[in-house]
Amino acid sequence: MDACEQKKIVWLASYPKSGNTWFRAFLTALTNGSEPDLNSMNTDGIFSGKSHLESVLDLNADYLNSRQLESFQRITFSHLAETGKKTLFIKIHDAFTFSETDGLARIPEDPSRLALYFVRNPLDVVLSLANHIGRPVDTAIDRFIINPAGTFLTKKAAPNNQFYQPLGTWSMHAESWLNCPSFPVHFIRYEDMKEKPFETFGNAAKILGLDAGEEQIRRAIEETQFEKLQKKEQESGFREKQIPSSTFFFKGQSGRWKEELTAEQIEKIRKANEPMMRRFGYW
Amino acid sequence: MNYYYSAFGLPVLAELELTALMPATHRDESITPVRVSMGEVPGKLENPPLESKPFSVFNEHEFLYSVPEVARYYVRKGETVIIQPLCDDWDTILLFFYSNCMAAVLFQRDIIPFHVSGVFIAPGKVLLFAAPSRTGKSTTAVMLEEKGYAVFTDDTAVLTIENGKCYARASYPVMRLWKSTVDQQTVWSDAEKRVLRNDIELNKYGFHFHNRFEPEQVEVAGVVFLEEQGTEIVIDKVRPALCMQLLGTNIYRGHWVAGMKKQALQFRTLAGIVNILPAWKACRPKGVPTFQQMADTLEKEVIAGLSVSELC
Repeated sequence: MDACEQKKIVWLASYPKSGNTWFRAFLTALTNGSEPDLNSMNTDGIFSGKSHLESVLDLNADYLNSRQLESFQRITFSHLAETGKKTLFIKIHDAFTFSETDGLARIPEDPSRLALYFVRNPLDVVLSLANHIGRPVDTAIDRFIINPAGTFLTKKAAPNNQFYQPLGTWSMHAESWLNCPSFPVHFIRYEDMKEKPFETFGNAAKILGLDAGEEQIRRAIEETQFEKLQKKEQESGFREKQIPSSTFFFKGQSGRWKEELTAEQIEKIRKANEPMMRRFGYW
Repeated sequence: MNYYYSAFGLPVLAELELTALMPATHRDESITPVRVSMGEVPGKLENPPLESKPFSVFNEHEFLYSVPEVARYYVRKGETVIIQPLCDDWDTILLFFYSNCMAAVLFQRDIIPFHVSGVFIAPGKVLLFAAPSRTGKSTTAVMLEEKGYAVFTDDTAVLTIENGKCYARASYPVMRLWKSTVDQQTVWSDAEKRVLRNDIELNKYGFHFHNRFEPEQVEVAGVVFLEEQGTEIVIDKVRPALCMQLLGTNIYRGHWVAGMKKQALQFRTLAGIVNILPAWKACRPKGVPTFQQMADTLEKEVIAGLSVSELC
């Protein structure tokens, strides 16, 4: 097997609430040729999930120190890539960071083929994030979007099925994936997924090397329209959402911030994130 | 010096102190003991491996497990366990012994371990809770203990069928509880808690209950499969076909079954259990503190439903 064939991991990377799940639903619809089941998507879990590590290494992930965790995550995903027969599509919300212990990338680079990075205007992300975590918009801004130490969960072990995920500010997150990986990273704007879906999803399928015709892509886009996913969530629930009573597929609109954020909130977000907002055409 | 213990109903004869195990009150000569010693672990298995993973290599009769910078372990024919320490942190070294080495011993002896906790609902009768890690098995047991139902086992047990009845043997006299659980109960005092690992900030503690541990087998009155799902607590009776499937997913280290060539044993064990054991599925919302309510509902809808005649 040559080195390229061993690179089986495709990272589906994003700051939270930026279209990652929508794309996974599209990928599922495209590869299944039918409506996606939100609770059984054709992708391969999340990097921060404890289940891959526990089943590959036969241990309880709650008892690991941070040095072991970083090393064991690399071992786990390298093993999955070595032994897997097909491409692994792994969701990841972690920023691309390096270990404080050994200086290596926390995300294993050797088995990584490429990443698709989904990017969305942070002024809209914050509204969706506030709904997702069930907190006021100001909390979502202060704790996440403008917080250089922002994380999902904490380093302290807790009864969660995921490890902590370093995020940084929205801008730091995007910049980390823009500058640091040694493998190719393709950026996909959420706004383009909405405004020109065929071109955007079609291009993503091409990058992934998927053998899909125009008709298949159009059908997969149709099956994963926001309203359809929202309806599916209402009918059969969605296990990945944080708060059972909340809605994961909330509004899905672009530009809500113009009506719903105050001038002060917009300024706060801009001040902390302007370089990357400009880079992706959001300022 | 040797130490004598009992775990999962098996006699354990150890060169080293294993504080999480139950000291044996007498030596059972009828069962070959599990001998635990320290020494050099072989570099490879005697026979070709059927499964090779980064830390585990095993076949039907041998199991090698290596945790970098912690220890190497070797388990053979369900009788021999060798531990080769690579550090001096014995709390961590023994965590992997209690979990993986003992699970390998059980599989090698044709015994299937299950991922269950349980409480006594009457003298000599237990109700078990099956679920993957972090679903709330231990917390459910503790909330029922608050209501007077003593803890039988935490996290694992083995199940057997004898004369048309299902029996369980508890694993160890140790409860492992998250701080969030400790904070909402009164049975276990803060003074009793033990640190599980010294080198990490872990919100989880060990509590020993050697003084009230039942090492003998106890009849199982039923099993409840716990799930985090939906927005409210719902408990439903489960038919044998679904029970078979759910029990199969709650085999401890279930992904070892093929590599240890225990598929037929798994089928026999599950089929035997599901045909006689009443089973329920209990769902509670994810991330919402509903354990006390769950304990109330279990008492009302499951425990009370098991008739007095069944429990006596």
